Amino acid sequence: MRFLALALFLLLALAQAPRPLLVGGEVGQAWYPGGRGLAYGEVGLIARGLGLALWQGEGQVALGLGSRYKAFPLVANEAQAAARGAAWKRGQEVLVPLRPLSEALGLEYRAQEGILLRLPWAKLLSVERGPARLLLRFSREVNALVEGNSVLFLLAQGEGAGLSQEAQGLRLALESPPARLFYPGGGQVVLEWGSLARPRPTVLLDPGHGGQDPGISAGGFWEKDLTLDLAKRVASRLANARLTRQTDQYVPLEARLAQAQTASVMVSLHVTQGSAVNLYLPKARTSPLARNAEALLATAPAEQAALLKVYAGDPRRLAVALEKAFSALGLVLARAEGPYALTDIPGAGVLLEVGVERLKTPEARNQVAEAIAQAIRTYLE
Amino acid sequence: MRRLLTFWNLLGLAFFALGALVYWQSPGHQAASALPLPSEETLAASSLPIILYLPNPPQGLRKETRTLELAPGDTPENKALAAWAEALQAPKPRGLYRMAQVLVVDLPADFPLGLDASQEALRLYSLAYTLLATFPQAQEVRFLVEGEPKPGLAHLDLSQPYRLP
Repeated sequence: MRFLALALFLLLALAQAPRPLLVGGEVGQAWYPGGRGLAYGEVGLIARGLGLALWQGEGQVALGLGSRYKAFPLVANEAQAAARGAAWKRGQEVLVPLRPLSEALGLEYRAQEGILLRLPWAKLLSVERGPARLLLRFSREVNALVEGNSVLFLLAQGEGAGLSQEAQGLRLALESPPARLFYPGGGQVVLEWGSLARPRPTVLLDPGHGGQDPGISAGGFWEKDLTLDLAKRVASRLANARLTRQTDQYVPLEARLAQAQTASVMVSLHVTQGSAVNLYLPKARTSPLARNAEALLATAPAEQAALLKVYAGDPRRLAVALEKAFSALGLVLARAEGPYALTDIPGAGVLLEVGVERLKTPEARNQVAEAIAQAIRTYLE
Repeated sequence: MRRLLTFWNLLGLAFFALGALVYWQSPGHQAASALPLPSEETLAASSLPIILYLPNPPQGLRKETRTLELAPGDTPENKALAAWAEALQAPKPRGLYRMAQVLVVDLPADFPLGLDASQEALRLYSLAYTLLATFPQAQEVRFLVEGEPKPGLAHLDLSQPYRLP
């Protein structure tokens, strides 16, 4: 009985001992952290052996094949790593669990005396040539490397014009390197030339009230008429600006909000008594994009920040630009934060309330409109 | 003809006799006694201490405590809304519903009419804070407009609940 128990323990111990690992043409060792029977392999060895894309960040490591990828959190404790199926940081080495990786990327996994991890060669099925575009279809996902005036499709084989077979894969000779290479999925690789059309920021001006909702009555004017007039004057000074209403019509808040959701900048215009100019900002923003945008805009390089501002913004930065523009007119904006309508959007949304005394003459309105337009231009720069 | 003196018939008869005896021995129908006097608890419910947050621009809101008498048929919710509307000379909300820790207030469409942004904010916060202070078991107030959830009023967002600071 004792011998039987000893033999059982010995077998279990042997089952958890490191085994040889063969990945493509590379040889290494498969480890069993935490004695859980889950084989791990070194991530660099796997990426080299199978031509996988490798990305390693602060607390995460990911391997990719074409449009597929598998990310693992990095854990230093081997028992915890094995229990969670996470990547194991073993000194300087990073090891990832082989079976989950194989399932995610479609690798062939075989465990006998050692572990065999391989990727069958991909076959080129078709090549579609379009203007400044090339679409290649393979029998499975492949990774492609741009090398000078050619692209190497790793572990792929095929025939065709400009294609040559190499030990590492299939090489496609080109006249010039592509501007973009991406994987749309389904074993496809797309190469494109020329520059992408840059998305342009959109400005939405919301003339408050309208139709059956006249707003306040001030200085012999209705608020709805003053806001529409002011919005039109601002829009005429900006490219790519639109209004939530063009005429004296009632637009429900739901419809205004739907338009505001996609705007880079949204200024809701209102009128108050007297000569004060009040600026209302959102206190808390609910969408993660909006919350992250504020931090990203503070740190991103100018080009990336300009691109980000098309989709998300920071109302406080817009407020600063408005304050500067109005200070040039000798006006100080009173700023308040709270749950103001239309301001909880991914873009930079504010509610601007102008005292009717500032809007009495067309010249005065032009001055206010120019200040608003200038602030929006400055914010988007 | 079936037998009458079976075991079950006799047992039933015995129970009936026992029940009749208990009924006979019990005191007869009592004449209506005097109405019970209302307890202290009932007396307390006939009044409602209300903490009004009244707009006090430009400082913000001013706190004022009043005690409202609840007449028969008055509900604390309705009385509080009426008192608030009277104090502010504002349109009276259509209804107040208490759901565990949430108060739901149904506003009329003309609630923000003729107000600028700061006046509208003062009016709405005044109502929310008054109700939260008067019904302290509630944690937040949600608003409806004409019985329907709306994204906002003329200047204020109503998609999120309002809480005391």
